[in-house]
Amino acid sequence: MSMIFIFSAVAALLALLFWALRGPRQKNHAGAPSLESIQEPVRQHATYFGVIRQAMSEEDFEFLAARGPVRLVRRAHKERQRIALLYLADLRADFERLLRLARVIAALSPEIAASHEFERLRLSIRFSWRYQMVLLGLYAGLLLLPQLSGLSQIVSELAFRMESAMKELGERAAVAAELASTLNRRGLDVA
Amino acid sequence: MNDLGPLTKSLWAMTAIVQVLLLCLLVTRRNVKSYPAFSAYIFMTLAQSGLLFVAIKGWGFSSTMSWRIGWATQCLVLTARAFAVAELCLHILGRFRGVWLLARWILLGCGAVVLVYAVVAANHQWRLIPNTAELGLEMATAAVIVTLLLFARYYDIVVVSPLRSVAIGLCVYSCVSVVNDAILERWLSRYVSLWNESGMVAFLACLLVWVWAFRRFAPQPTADPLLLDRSVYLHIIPEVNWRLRALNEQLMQFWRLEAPRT
Repeated sequence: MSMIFIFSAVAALLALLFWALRGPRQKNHAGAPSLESIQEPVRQHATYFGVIRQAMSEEDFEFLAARGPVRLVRRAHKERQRIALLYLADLRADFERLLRLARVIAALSPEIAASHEFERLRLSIRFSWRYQMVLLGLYAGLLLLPQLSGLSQIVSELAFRMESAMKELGERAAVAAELASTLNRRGLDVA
Repeated sequence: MNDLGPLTKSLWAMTAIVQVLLLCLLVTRRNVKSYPAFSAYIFMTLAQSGLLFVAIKGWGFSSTMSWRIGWATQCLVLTARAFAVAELCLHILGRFRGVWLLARWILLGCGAVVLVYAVVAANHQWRLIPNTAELGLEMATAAVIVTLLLFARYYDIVVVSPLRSVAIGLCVYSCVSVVNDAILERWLSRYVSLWNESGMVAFLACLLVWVWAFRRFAPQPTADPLLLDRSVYLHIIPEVNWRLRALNEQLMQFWRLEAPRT
């Protein structure tokens, strides 16, 4: 086996090891996926879609372009771009939170389907890649801002559908916490 | 023993002392019950050191008998190591039944593929067959541990101490062994002494990490997470995946250069 291959493989393994161990997303002494995240409100940024749409209004911008000075138009364009970037970042945060919920559901399920899990992994990777591309496009001024609406709609709907699952998880989390606390008080070995 | 350098001898002595210390900690801090395979692995490494000491003292470092004893005991140690890794996997993912059912086959498959590839792709020389096998096993061990930790990270499962230290120690030592064995394959005669010493230094460092991790009493076992009804997964996850797919498609709409859809 070539030395270069071995050294590269070892370097990749060590890099992945430290990446996997670096700052956990959720700290929890029990080692279980955090149930606190389930109880967080998830419909946050996606619900500001109306305000964002107003800010991105094409008519407003055309009106300003026709009547206002060039400096003002440039400034407005920059502001719109900044808002779009912030909104996109917040949408991604919403998306990540929903994805985490899906992972918690998977982790707490007695059976999971490999096909669903791999599909979600593939979709997450694809989403991350496309998100970076969109971000790049927005910075470069290549993308249409009003198309943010579709993204917002999807996130909003997903949040809504997840609410019932979150409610159930929240109830079960409370029961689990109470059970664990009772067992700890009694000093029982539950392993 | 005269054909061993003073550095090797002192490293050997230090390693034996730390192995004994770690075993004492495992026993007195009641960690043996929670980590039987890991404790057995540490015991095996200590027993191997003792046997090798006797063999080298009796027949010399370069004798065929010492070489045979060395590799025979190494086979046992590697087996114990494999069990310790399996125990680690079970500790980290075992409580999450669904994830564990999926992960164990992936971990086994990953280990087997890496092992077979490493052994098949190696440069075969009769004297280096044990080295090649060891290289393959060590690479498979490192790959399994990394995959395990990636699984844990993906599902937000926190790897608490001492499991974290055990995983780091086993993986880093495996990586060092792979590099060590690979270099030995290429420059056998000139590298033997350095090969011994670098392997011992790496193992000593891992032992110190484990001593630090096991200095405390075994933590109180935590209650298993209360699992959801299987219908929750069956209802929610396909819906989430469908939405994610739609979201990906929506994201593509941002890109002006996208090809028109049929």
